[in-house]
Amino acid sequence: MENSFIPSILFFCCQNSVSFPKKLVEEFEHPEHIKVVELPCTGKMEAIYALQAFEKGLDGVCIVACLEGTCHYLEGNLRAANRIHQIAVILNELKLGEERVAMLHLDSTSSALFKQSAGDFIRRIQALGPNPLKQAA
Amino acid sequence: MPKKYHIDFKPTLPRYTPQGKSGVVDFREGCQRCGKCAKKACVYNVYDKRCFDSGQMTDSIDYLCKNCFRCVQSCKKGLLNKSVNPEYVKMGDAYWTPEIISTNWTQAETGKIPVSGAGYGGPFSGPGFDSMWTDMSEIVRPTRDGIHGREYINTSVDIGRKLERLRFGATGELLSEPPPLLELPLPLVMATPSFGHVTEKVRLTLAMAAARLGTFFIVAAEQYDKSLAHYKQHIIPRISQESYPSFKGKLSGHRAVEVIYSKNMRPLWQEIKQNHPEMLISIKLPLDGNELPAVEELALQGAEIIHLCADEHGNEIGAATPRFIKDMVRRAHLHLVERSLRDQVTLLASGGIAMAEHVAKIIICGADAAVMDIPLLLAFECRLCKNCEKKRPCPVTMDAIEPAWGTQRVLNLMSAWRNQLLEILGAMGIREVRRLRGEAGRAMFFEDLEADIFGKIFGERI
Repeated sequence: MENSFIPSILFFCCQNSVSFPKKLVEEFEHPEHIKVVELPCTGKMEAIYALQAFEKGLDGVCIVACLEGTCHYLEGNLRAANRIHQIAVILNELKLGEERVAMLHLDSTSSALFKQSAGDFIRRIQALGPNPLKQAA
Repeated sequence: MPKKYHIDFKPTLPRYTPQGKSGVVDFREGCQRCGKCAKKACVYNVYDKRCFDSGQMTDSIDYLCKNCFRCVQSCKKGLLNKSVNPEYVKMGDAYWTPEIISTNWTQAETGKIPVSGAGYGGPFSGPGFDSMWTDMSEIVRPTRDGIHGREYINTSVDIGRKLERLRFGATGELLSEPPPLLELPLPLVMATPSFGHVTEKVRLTLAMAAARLGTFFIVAAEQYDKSLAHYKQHIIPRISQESYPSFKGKLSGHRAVEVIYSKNMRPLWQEIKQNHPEMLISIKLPLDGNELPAVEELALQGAEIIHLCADEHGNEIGAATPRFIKDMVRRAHLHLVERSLRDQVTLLASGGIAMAEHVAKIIICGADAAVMDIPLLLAFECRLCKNCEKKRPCPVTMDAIEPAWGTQRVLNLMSAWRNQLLEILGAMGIREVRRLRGEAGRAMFFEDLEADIFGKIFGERI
């Protein structure tokens, strides 16, 4: 039986990473369930951003950063990677599973790769099922 | 002496954290705990008040930060960086810029004239209203102090048809019957925006605000809810040939009505006038390139108010290379002046009125009053994301606004706009806004200056 669950996904995108992410997600199957927040640098994303998103009931959070070594702020994407690790640990402790968070490293020309990787991520979350916190609420 | 007109403004906080211009990039992991933290030294305490709005996914710091760069400069490890928030830059469109959106938000929140800092770094001229510079003529005329109230600058305008001359009888009695006339305390009329989550609650809020301000709110007959009937003294229903039969019974009690222009509207117009002789009739005429003969014809036929309407960006409707509203209104105004008809009719202008200065500029171009629509949405925190057009949920849940909160936000915005109008009038030494109408000598038009100065050398601009 086909999985009818439509996951709500949040993308945090660095403005120097993939170009026009909001337009790209419009081409996905359920764009109304996808929210894209553009940031000046993924180093701006604090762990609390993603954790509050899960608390709010979102099913998956994906961070789209620049390629390693190409950050405009030199080490913003590396710091974001560290924060993802922290988030993953907390998610495991909460029994939500670290699979609900992911990080992509893309440059501004990787629209096709973004669509593919983001599509994979959405399918992964779909297979995982809804966020248990949403059901609790 | 009558009481001075005053709009009660009161700081009214937004419900959601607005998108801020700045984006603080905070690398907190590298902190060496030096004890002299740059965050604590913030004079606006933005780091203490910091919170994250998970509904909007916005960090309050981006809105609260005043961009003084003190923290960026004083962090010893250089962990704080600042950038422009990409979400802010992408708000609105080329006309409704993020700056216009955020200044209107600030005005709706504080009710005060926004101060944008010392110096102006932008270009001297631009498209649209930016190619028009109002002339502060204090050199030849003393300025007036309008804001602090030492001199009263009147912002009221009369709408309706005016007599060309009075006729008196042999014994000096007045023979002319003065036509109905309404006085608006400020040259602004409100109208339902063409998009947005404009629900019954939003329309009620706007009607309440119009009643508090003493102005009018234009609403389409199809959207005329029962709850609005209480404010009918301040509502102008907009009717068309199709909606008239069903709205006919509800028309009485209104002081004005708006009819959408069409070639065969004359019988409808006459019928309304016959049934309600005291009611002013405004005719909504699209600025589509054919407006000049229509304006002249309507003025000759005895129209009281002509509402010239451009699209939401102030452009000519349905043209490949559209002209801008200021040029079209100026042309219509001058056309009526040439035909000696201008003083008999009232011109309202709508479309692209986005800032307080646009009101003064459109009046200089010849309108009696401006009609504002989209800025009303901005008072309710709209982000012009147009999710409503895509049938997606409104990020600021406009349909859930409290009428009291919304009314105050509109009053704040109107107060700030009116104060800016007073500033302009004061600087020009003009004591009432009626005298600003068509005063093109108080403004310079970039296109005219360019043609005068460079046209002789380089020829016409292609």
